[in-house]
Amino acid sequence: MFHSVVAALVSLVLAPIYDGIERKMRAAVHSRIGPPILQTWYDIIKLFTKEIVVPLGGTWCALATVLELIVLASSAVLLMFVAGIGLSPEGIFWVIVFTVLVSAASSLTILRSVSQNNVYSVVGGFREFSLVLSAEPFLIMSLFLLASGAGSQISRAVAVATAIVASYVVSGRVPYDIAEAEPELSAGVNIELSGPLLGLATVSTVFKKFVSASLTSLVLVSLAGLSGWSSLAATFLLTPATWIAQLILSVMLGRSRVDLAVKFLYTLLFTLSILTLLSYGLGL
Amino acid sequence: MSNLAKALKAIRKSIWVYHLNSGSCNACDIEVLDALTPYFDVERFGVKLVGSPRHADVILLTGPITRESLPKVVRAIRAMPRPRLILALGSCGVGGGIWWDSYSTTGGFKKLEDILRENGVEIDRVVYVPGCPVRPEAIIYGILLLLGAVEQKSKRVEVYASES
Ligand code: SF4
Repeated sequence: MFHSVVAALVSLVLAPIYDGIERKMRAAVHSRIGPPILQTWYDIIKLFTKEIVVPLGGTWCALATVLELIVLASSAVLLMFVAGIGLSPEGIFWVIVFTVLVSAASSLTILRSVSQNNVYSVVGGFREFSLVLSAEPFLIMSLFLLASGAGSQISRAVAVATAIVASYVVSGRVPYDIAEAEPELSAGVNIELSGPLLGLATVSTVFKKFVSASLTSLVLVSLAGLSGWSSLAATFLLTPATWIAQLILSVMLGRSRVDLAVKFLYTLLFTLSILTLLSYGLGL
Repeated sequence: MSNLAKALKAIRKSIWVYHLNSGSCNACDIEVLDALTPYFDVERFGVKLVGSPRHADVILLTGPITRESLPKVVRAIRAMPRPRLILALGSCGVGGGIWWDSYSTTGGFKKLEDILRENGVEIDRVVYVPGCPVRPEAIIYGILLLLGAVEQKSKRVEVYASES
């Protein structure tokens, strides 16, 4: 437990640096120098020095923002704890708690957006809701099947594929950044936030990316059959690599129409889930 | 160190800009976008374009502030958290340009500042960047000047016509 907490805390401090590396690599793809790798830390520190303009509906909005950050940090710690056990029947209870926390974080994002009394923010909240509906049930199902320890290597591989796609959606990268959608919704769910409140929301966004990358690493590690210490170390070390892999995927995917992005996601995850259930059911 | 100097120091490594067009001919806006392209790569100084004035550290103001846009401009500047920093861009943003005394414009930032003061909106610092249109290099220089990262090269000289 102690090692998992230490690994999670170190990772959470490193997460903004991973984000800085992501921005640096994105700049490299554009043939430019880009920001320093500590840029995300500079942004967060700056936001905490700024004035806070409390939006209409401020109490609920502030409460949801703070709770979302706490829930995401807890889910990151829990994920490392699960990594310390390995995706196996011994850790199934903690896997269920983890999925509850991830869903709670999404619900708090929706609460934050609808409490802001701004049309763009409310639209962002509904988009977040549609993403939650089209990705999280499949994520929960695949993690549950993987943790149950049932199924052959083929059926586990299909479940891993489902979990990887669903956790990419959790990261909020293009084209599933539609809740914030900087170009059309002017930051959507974050539009009315300022100063330290926006700082907290920025940290939450980085933590979401971290949870997504380490979850992808964990399911890949589970495919290799690792557990205990080796599983924790492998998940911890693999996380930066999966973070970069998600970045490369997001650069290749680009933006798409809002409805098409969700429709495609739903079709893909639905097909993968049917395949997963069939392979488990038929005992392939 | 004054409070403003401390706040500017905190912003120097992370400068989020909000582009506010107050009725320009769009040439200055194209230059603003040019300054944000990979060619000039302002992200290396920590500059990022944001979509909401609530997130902004600096407002890039273009245009002579038409009567139609005036209430929206005041609202957008009011929405910005302190310290409020403005970069008045182009001949129009600086002093109204060729429309400086037109009935349909406010006539540049100086007059807007008076209107903002009357409405209780304080501006912490402003830098004027002239040009028609303003050059991207001048915009970048203006941002760094605004935050005190570079020294001002030109001196302010006031010239008055004599009565005789
Ligand atoms: S300064 Fe010149 S280029 Fe810029 S908006 Fe005014 S007229 Fe257009």
